Amino acid sequence: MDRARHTRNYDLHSWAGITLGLIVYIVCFSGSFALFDNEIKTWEDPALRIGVSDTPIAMNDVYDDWIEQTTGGAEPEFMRFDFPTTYTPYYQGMVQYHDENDDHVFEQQRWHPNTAAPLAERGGGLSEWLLDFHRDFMWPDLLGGRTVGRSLVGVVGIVLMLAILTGIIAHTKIREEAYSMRLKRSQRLKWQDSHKVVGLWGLPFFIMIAFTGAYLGVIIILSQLVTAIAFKGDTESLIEAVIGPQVEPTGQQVQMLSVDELRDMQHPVSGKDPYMVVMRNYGDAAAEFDVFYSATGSLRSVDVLHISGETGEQSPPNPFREEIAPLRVIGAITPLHYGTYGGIWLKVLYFVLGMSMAVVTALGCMMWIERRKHGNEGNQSLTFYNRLGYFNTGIIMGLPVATIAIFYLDKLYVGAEAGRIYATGWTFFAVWALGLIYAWVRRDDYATTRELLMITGVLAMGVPVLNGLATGDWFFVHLFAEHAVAAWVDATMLISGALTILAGYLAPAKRWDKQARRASAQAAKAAADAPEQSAVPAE
Amino acid sequence: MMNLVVLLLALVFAVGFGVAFARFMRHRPRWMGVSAFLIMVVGIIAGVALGFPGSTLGRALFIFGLVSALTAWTVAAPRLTSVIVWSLIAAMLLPSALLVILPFDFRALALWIALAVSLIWVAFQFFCYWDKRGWRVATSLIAVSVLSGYIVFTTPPPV
Repeated sequence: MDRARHTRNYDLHSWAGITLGLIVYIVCFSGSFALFDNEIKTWEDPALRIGVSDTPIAMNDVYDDWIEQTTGGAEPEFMRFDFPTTYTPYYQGMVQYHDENDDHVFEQQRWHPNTAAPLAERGGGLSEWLLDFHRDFMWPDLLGGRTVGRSLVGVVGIVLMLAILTGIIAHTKIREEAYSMRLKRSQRLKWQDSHKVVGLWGLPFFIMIAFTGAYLGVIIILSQLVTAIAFKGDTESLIEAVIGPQVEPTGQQVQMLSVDELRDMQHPVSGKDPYMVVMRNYGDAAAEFDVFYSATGSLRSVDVLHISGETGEQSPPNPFREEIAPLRVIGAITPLHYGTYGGIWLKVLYFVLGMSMAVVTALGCMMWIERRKHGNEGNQSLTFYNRLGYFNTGIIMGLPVATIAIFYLDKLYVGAEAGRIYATGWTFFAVWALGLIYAWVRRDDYATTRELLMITGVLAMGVPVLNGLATGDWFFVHLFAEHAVAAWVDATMLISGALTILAGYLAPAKRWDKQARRASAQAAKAAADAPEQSAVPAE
Repeated sequence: MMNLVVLLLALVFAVGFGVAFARFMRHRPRWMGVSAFLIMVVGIIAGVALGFPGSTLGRALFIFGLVSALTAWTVAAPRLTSVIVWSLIAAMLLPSALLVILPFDFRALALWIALAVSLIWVAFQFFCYWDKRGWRVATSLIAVSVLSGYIVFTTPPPV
């Protein structure tokens, strides 16, 4: 490759990184926590720490009564019933209908798995924030709503793909660089080597996560636009061509299968129990139920059985439901992105790789600023790059503190359940802003990084204590109990908090440039020589 | 409320775009600097027009503003415009054209193309800084977009 092209490619890599690097970091960091959405859900809501009895309770009448009371006789547009699982150990009903003002109304209710007693709804909070902040930045309706946020996150995936591609091309000695860690050289070289080594070893994962993230975020929207352009805006024909015609109700009322019968309907191939049923045209002769089974162990989101709501027989073959090759690829995207195709250890591996991607991005941003502050690149003043450095450090190191802070809010919140998510959001941004202010006041990126890392570690180690005090569930008692998920969240927080404190302790307290290293070496030499000199007897 | 939001976003876009453009023009001829200022004004008019989409004059101003801004921006910074704007437009129109002309099963093709959109987009963005000449990059992407647009709008829908 000629030199000019190499420079252009390198510039594209560094500018893509510095303009959107922090957002990539935010998405990667929040994504690492979003992986444990189910586990954190159990931690946040003590009502979910329930052992499900082997003898299931009859639920059909409870569900039917609730539908009748909720809709007031209005025809439901959408109905769903969830069966208890490890992470959601309760029955849950959902319904959407048109009210008298022709508005869409959505209602849901949870019931205890062993007694069928209604469970109080808990407002969305910690787990919802962690997952949705990763998926769509919790983008406010005032600025276009969640779709805008989701698209932005998808664009981050595109930028990441571009940065990976240009990064691979920029590094001409990949094999040598994959093993090169010069730990005794300058700080910048250490960052540079870490950026390259971690980036290269995690490359397959990073490519996969960028591609699947871009697809789930923006491409799913863009591809609809692409096909709509091909159809010149005729969306009805387009929908019919892709998902086939919709079944219309016949108007003939019939008896439906009960949810208790559906619960016993095992998958004909895997033998698994269903975890969810979605019902269309409920009560009508044309009713069709989609029965969902988990597809753990394979690269599929779910296994779905389409059955008649009246007889339970499988729906006749439909060419639009044939599992063609691209559909299998698309079906694999979500499990691949969230690591749901394996057990908890796969998620732990995803967490480590996700965090390493965040670290690679953060190191890239730090190197960009360092090269301009202490190298030959850039033409802005030192003050400008210093300020950029404070901003960068505040954003990067403030995010972990903010993330752990909302665990505290979850247990200390005393307001109305409807306001829990707002309180979570405000706390998150307020703590993050405090991190940013701290970096500006401290005016030392090295000290800020070290101190905020230690604060994060201490806060994380306090999470199990907080949970124990607030709920009475001390993690060491429940680690091997029937429902141990929350206890393992506590234990993980304790260990990762200790590791974070260690990382903070080992992080450099100040910048070691050539002069400082030389002075330190001279001081060490002088100290070593001093005893020898004092050992020479005076004449 | 939506109009207000769109208007605010358009204003932010226009001001940011204008300031960035003016900064880019610091070491370039005066006429380019003046055009940068004009683009900012046109952008704001476009924002106002976008904020009130009911008016025909507003729509016309918006289209005028958008076309002028894109043209001027492309002339001044072909690579940057290509990597931000033209690569996206080409990445949407090219798959649409492929969907219309390729003689395969529509459903399977549409799904494969949906998977390929991100790769096409990234490939176009990468191409923006690969070619030696910036104007050639912009011209190629505009040509791909125009050709694809022509195919899409002159060929009947695939199904």
